[in-house]
Amino acid sequence: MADVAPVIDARALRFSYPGGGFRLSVDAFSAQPGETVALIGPSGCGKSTFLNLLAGVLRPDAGNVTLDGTPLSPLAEKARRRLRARAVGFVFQDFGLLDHLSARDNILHPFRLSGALRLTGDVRDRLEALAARLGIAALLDCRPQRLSYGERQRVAICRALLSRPRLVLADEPTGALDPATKRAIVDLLVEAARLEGTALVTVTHDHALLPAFDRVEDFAKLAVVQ
Amino acid sequence: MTGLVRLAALYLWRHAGWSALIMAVLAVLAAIPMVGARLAGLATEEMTARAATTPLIYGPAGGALELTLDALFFTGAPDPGLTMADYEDLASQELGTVIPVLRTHAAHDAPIVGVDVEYLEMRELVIAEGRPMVLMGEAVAGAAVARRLGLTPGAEVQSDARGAFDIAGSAPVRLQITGVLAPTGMADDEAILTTLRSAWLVAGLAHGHEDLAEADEAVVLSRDDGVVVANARLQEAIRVTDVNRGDFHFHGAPEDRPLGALLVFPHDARAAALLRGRVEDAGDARQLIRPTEVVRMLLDDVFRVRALFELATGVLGTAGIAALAGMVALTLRFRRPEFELARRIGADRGAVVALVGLELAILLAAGLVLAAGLTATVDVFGRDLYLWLLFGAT
Repeated sequence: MADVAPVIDARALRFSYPGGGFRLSVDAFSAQPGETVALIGPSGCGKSTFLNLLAGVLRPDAGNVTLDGTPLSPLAEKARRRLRARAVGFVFQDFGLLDHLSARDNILHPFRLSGALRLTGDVRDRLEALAARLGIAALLDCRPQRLSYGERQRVAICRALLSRPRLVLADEPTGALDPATKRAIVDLLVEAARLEGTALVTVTHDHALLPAFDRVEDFAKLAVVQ
Repeated sequence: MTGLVRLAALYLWRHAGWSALIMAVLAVLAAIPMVGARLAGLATEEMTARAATTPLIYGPAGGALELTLDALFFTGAPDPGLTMADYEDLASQELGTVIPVLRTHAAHDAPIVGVDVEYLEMRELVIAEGRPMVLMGEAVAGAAVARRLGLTPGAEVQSDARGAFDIAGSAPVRLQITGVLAPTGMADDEAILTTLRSAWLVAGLAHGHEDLAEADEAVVLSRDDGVVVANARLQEAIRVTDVNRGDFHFHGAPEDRPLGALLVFPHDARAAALLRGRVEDAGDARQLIRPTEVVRMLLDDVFRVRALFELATGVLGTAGIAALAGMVALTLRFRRPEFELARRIGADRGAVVALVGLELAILLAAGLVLAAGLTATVDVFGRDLYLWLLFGAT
């Protein structure tokens, strides 16, 4: 696996929010295609900030992130957005679904708002197949408020995977779920990542879920937070 | 782009209440000046046209505007300050056609206007259904009032129990509708035109009752040499029929019967000048006015008021737009999580801006369509609306 170019590679990252008070340093982090990584650590230690740096949502003060072979630092905001749309899938703890859209429209949302993605018949076919695999095929026309938390998270995973991203970033994706659903969601994410050759980086506090991942990184050791 | 349209439409549809509110506010902001201008245009046109077809109005001394409103538009407080003697005096000068007008009562908010049958000819009124009023107790209904009250030839309409002129009160009278006028877009549409004798009857100056010679003894107080005195139980007739028409009678001298105004159509300019001179020479008790001059002065005032109205509308419109902008800004603030999500999933900034712009454009377009609809409604029903605004009923 070490011979394959990593999907995500972060080197000598330094980041602080405007106004200071929070400084994050990460010397090195990478993930290979199909590799699943769990990031653990106490709340407020900068895990979500780190995910945003990996995705190019935030720009580091120093160091570089290479996503799918493309260094992010030299890229303008528009190019980073387009690369993110194409190469990164996000899964959030609060699902990040829009109440006024059906599950299907939520899943297709990135395709309608990004010029980097084209909504073709193949994409629609893939949506149906993914939805069937995730067990939400019958729920695609429902709006989020009619779905259980577990179903909502499956919709969010479907959205994250639809564009065949090289990297999926999941920020505490099981935080709001019951234990049985947590396990099912993590298994789905891990299985999908392996199946699609997607690197998966998941922030979690739930140690019971760690055996499902290829690698577990303790953020307290990975990063220096001041 | 179709994806954005779908997203915009879904957002507006799922937030229908908010969308409808914004749309309605936009429609009202756009419609008020347009509707105001249309109504003002109609009012100007109608009032000017009505005044232009009536060269002179003769009436009791007082406000020229009140006299014009009473005689031409059948509105305002009636002032029956003339008598038939005035009519006889003016008509005898043979300088033009003189048409008496009397309005004291109404029926279901429609003014009952006593006129000569000649009035129909001078106003070029067309009887759409039935025939003109000829006998006491007969009337023709204006097009709008006929539609509103469902009046057709053969129907009856009852005068209100009390009119402005009639302080003591008078018994209501049932007038028989003999005809319905074709629509004119003028005050006649809202009026019930009747004969002068009927108008006097409505005003309580004439009455009919059962024949005392054949009356029930219970109502008779005394009989003395053919003079029969009855008590208050004697039934007054409220409907003039072919059978009892002869029983109706007036009290007092014919020349003292009241009139509200005289419409004067002089033969020529010289006749008009002569009439004006004679009325001025006769003293201050009477006036002869040119309604076009009165209406022009009224419209000058209206235009001044309209300018203020437009200024107020402008201020309110600006405030409305500011409030609307505030609402939109507040909504965008509430939608920050949605925009943050869009940023994280790699949405183009331009696409997000276009999405919001599209939503506002749809609302603006819908608001303008609604405003155009309101304005079109004014075009269709403007005359009715104008009549309602001016005369209080349609």
